[in-house]
Amino acid sequence: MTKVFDQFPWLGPLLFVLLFVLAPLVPGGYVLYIFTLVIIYTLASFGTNILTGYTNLISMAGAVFFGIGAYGSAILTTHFGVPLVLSMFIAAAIATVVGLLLALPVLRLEEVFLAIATLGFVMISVEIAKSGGELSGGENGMGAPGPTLFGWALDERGYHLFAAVVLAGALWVARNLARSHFGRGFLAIKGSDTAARALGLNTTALKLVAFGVCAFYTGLSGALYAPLVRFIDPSLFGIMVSISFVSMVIVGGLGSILGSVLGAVFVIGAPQLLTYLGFDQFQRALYGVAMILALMFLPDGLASLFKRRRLPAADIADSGVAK
Amino acid sequence: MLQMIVSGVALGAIYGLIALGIVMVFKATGILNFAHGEAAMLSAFVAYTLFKLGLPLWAVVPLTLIFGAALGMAIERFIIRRFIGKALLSSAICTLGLFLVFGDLAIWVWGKDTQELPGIFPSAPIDVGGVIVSGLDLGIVAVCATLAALLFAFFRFTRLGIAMQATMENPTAARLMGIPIKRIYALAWALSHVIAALAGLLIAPLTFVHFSMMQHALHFAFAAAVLGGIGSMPGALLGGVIIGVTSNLTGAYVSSAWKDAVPFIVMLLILILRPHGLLARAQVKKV
Repeated sequence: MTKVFDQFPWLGPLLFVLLFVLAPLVPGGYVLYIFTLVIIYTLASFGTNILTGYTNLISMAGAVFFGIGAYGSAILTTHFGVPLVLSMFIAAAIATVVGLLLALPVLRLEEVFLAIATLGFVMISVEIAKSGGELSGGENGMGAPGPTLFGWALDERGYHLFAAVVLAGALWVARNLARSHFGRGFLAIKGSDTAARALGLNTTALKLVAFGVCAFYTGLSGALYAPLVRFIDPSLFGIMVSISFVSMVIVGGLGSILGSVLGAVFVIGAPQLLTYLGFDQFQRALYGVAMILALMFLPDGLASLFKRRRLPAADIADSGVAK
Repeated sequence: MLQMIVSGVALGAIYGLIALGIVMVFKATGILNFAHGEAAMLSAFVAYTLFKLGLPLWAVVPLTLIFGAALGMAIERFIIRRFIGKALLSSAICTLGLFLVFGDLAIWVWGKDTQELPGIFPSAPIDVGGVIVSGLDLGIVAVCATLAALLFAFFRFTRLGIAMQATMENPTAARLMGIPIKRIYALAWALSHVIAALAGLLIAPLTFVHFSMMQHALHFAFAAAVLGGIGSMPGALLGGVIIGVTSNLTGAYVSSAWKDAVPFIVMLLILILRPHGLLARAQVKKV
């Protein structure tokens, strides 16, 4: 699979876009809603994967950036009349700046310490969102206007296509980023922080870039989320959201773009499927069991289903798109 | 003020106990257990059921602790064993899966209603040198202090405790010395869940018994574990006390809304100053 993608670099993105663009043909508004949600989560999954899959930094702060994106775009469009696309990018830019500011003090931390410290950001940001006044509606939340593009109101299908286009762009950027010297630097840090430093890499700067990119993608994903759900409140941006972002990447496959997509499909799709099949009562439990089984039997994520077995030596080259 | 600090210490001692369990399995098996709080919740429900069956207190407490031990060993045997030595993140996400399973299991067996577990200690206020302390707070602190002393003695003076410490320091060397490290892993999980069951029993009179009773405490316990330095068991208790007192004082003097956030701000500040936590030894980084 990976080989095919290497020979035809456009095939992968094209496949995903086709899959997501054809989704609107499926009847039923709810199905479409789920597909759009998958696109939005895939975007966040890319961000998380660049940070965790490529650089091996564990961040639980995803919900913070997702929230900034969602609140940012909702506030900008509602209170300031900023057009949707512009508001999305402003919100994502704000998320990036916040991401860099948050990363600065915690970059020295490792593994568990970084994970729990970033978890702390979520606890704090939820309180900030709750104490927001008229601008964000505080604990009661706020409405977000439905999506419009250049003055045209987008219907469900239109918005789905729009999200798919954003995703395709993001995918293209992520792929090139992974192949750039940044991508190689990220992988070097993943291999060994100390060794990367010894090679003369500015690991602090590289980690900051990874945090910034993660925050931008996750922010953009949140900005797409608000017009879809039309109503946001602080409870939507709690720790479970951060956890779902990280689990997408782990279950899907670390450092793999295909894994990001499969992870998002799993995290959004599996609970939906269980509800649909009538396991409502045990939805969380069965989803948990599925997660555990996936990790037990596919330790390299769902993406490894599509890869042929290789020699261990090929692992490092294979763990990223970088060649 | 002093009363706030005392009840903060009591609350913090519970967070510390949960953190202690998290640190113990992390040190022994390298696994970050997000399901730890839920295991404590299940134990509290088991205690509640035993009470309902009419068993006396002196029987309920040991039975609950035995349940905790069995649960811990079962988790280790059937799931965790496959993840020992693997990447931190996949095992962490795996315990998150377990977290979801336990949550639904509790709802399935006991329902979503809030239940009351009679306290192990009387809640009547006691006057200690001018400070009015509730008997419950005092009991919690006493139990934690006793447990800490027992654990210290266990790790310091018993062969098993020393073997466990050796395994935590260096599993390969421990195995070469003839220590059955697999049994030690199982023991660490059992012991950690006994402590979780104890924490569940202690917190039950404060939060009532409910399927989500431990989620709030778990966040604080993680903060406590990291604050103390996740490799240090005394650090976990110290971290718990710091978090508990900060939370209580914030609730009383700043705003009750910030009670959950301020302890994390304190944790962040301490981590910025000491990136490995308060009581952990800095390790030489291997390339």
